[in-house]
Amino acid sequence: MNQEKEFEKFLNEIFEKIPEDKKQAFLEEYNRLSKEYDEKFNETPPEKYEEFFFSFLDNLFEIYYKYSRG
Amino acid sequence: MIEKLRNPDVNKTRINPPGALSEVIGRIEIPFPLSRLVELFRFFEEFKNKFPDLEINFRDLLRIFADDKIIRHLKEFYEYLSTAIFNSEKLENLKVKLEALGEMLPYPHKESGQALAYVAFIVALAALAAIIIGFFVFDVAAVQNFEKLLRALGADEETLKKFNELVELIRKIYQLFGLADPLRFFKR
Repeated sequence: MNQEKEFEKFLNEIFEKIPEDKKQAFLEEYNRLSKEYDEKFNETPPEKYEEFFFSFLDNLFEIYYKYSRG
Repeated sequence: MIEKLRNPDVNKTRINPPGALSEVIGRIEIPFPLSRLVELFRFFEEFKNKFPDLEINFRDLLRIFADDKIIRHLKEFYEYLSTAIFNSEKLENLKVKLEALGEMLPYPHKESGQALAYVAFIVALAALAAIIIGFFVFDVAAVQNFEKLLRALGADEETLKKFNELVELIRKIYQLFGLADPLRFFKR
């Protein structure tokens, strides 16, 4: 499986772990984060890509942690 | 094209990665297989539940595992911890090792009340690193040595209780990664 597919699989696996009643809120925050990173990308030089990736994971974890508890 | 269709509502069962991330992933060296990210998230989630006062973020955790030097020190620390029969000299050496590790880890609050939580955090990381690297033998003697260390550092019963919860957590992580091929964590 290529990296992109693997990452998509990971996102959907964590989404599945969010309780049903919190999925909508999670999704809204996830979409906001996603938009923010798409916008940031244009201003990010290639040497900062690694940091960009880790920063996204960090923010994603915070959202996941906020909504994963039932 | 960077922009991708986002999910308009929760009824869509799948979510898409941001287009930017798809671009980035193909161009960087990621120091762990993406297939282990779910486990890492779950580990860190459980860890944060047990130690809510520890202010360390997920990025820091990944950075620790991406840093060979820290991993080497953690392994050395763990080996020392699991084999030593503690006396005052060895305990002093252990403190020196802890301090050296403390300088390397991105942990912001090493003062007073959080010192023991910090020790527990390093012990957990050492154990996890050792599991991942494949040198870990989770036996009774090792756990007893952990406890001995915490007691020698002045841990109260509450801290020891937390420590035992941590041991259980490490056991689960150990089961998660298994023994068959411990190095697979770092394989792509």
